[in-house]
Amino acid sequence: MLLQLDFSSDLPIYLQIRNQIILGIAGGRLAPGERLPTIRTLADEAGVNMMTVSKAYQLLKHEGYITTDRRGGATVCKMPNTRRELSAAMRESLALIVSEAKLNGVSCAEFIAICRELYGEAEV
Amino acid sequence: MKYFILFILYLCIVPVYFVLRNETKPKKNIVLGVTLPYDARQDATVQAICATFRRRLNLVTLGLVLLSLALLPIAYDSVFMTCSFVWIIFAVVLPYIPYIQGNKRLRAYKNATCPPAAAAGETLIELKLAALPKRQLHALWFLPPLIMALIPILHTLFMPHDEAFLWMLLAYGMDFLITLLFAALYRLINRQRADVVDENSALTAALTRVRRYQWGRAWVAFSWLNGLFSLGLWLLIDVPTGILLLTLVYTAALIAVCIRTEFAARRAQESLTAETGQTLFADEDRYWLWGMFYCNPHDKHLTVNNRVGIGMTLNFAHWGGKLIFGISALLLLAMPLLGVWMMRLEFTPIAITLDEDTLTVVHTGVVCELERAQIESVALLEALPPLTKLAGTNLDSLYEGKFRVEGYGVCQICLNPQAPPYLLIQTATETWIFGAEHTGDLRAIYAALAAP
Repeated sequence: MLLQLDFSSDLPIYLQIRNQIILGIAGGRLAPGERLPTIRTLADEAGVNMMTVSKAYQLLKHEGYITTDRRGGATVCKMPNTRRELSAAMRESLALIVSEAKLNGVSCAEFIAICRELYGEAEV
Repeated sequence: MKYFILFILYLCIVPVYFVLRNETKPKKNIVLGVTLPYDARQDATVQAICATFRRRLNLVTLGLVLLSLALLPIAYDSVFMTCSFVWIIFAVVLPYIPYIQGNKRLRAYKNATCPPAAAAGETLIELKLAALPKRQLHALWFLPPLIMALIPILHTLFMPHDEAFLWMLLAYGMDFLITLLFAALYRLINRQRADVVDENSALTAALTRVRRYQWGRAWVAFSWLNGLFSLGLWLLIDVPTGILLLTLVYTAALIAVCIRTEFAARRAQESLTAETGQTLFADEDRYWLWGMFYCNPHDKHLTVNNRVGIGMTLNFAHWGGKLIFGISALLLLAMPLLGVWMMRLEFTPIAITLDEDTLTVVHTGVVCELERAQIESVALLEALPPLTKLAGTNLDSLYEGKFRVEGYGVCQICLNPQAPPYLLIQTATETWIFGAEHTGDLRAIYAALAAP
């Protein structure tokens, strides 16, 4: 799985790492139980500070997508999503995306079709 | 001497010529330091830019070779050396001018005709590959060369010490440290990024494996060569010609290993990435000034992999990169000053004076002042015995410094080897051998010192 980091983006690097790992897990490119690079290795590969990677891993761990060990390693969780519902924060983000789509003239049917397509791509 | 220097000069220019010429062959989608999509590589304009670059590189290299041959008639060593130092600066800078011109033209063409790559400016990381454990050569590969470099040190330490003890220890110690450095540098490769070209994980793994394998081979070879060189230096310490030949062979072998591993890696990169660049591909051109200076303020690394081949380069956005480059550039530019200092040494005559109590030898400064009472014996040598330099200068017309002289041990010397006779003076602690500009003066001083 390819991690694409854009240093000129407004999105912080730790969030870029976090988002792409979530996309990878959802898209099946990272399988449950699969090991991720250690914090040090990923920091070396990306040329970023170890704290940046650590922050991304802590966030992913807190959200239940990965587990970490004492040596800085991480593993994709076997059951990344057991709640079967959206959190308040996720609903809020989705509401913003729906509103933007609506204001840009995307119809409900088109929006649902896009969602279906993306969900299908992301289905494990 | 001149031919030895000429050999060293060609060692500077020949590898640079072939490496630069090879830059026109696409590797990892990169041609002359510019990342191009697959379709653009065979474009007529790109080919024309590459052909112009090759033609200009040929001209620059030919000019440098002719210039080096024009140095041969120079009679004085110091003048020859000064000109050679200036030549080295030319050789380091000039071949890169056509390269920079080609890079700029190609980049302008790319910006005008090729749509921006999907991942342009992004840093690509192969996550799964990064998670795999990194294989390293066993440390035992570096042990024999370290032992070889240690033998001369131990021998010098445990044998009876003479005046050359410290010089010998310093020379062998440096060799040992260099061998140790080679072993340490090998480990640097696993701290560097993998060679990501596109989404193909297998390709990334293969390219990274090629780089690390060739890098490992190179450092093991350097380490062994240095260990053998250290051992050879110790065995041939009293054979100046042998040391010269050994140095020649050692330097040539080092360069041969560099060229062999660099081109083996380049050939593999070229064939593995012959069909890439058709979908998503890495494009970090924005961080590479003129295609050769890496300047990425977001990258905390001081050193990064060269884009092609196996070498490494500095990150000029890092303060350490600027510092190392600044010091290296200053040292390079200061080389001709060394030649000026050598000219001063060569063209300043040696003057020996004897007054009532003191013998004074002056060259560029006072070489020594000996009280008559200190002098235990004096002799006039009509020919110079075989000698080996330990520290100092040995130009064709000047020997100055500490030398090991057959039959006399370690001596302090200041003379012109082409102008006998020589005055040999022994004190309780040291042996001196002097020559002088006017042989008549020297004979008169000898007569005065030898008189009861």
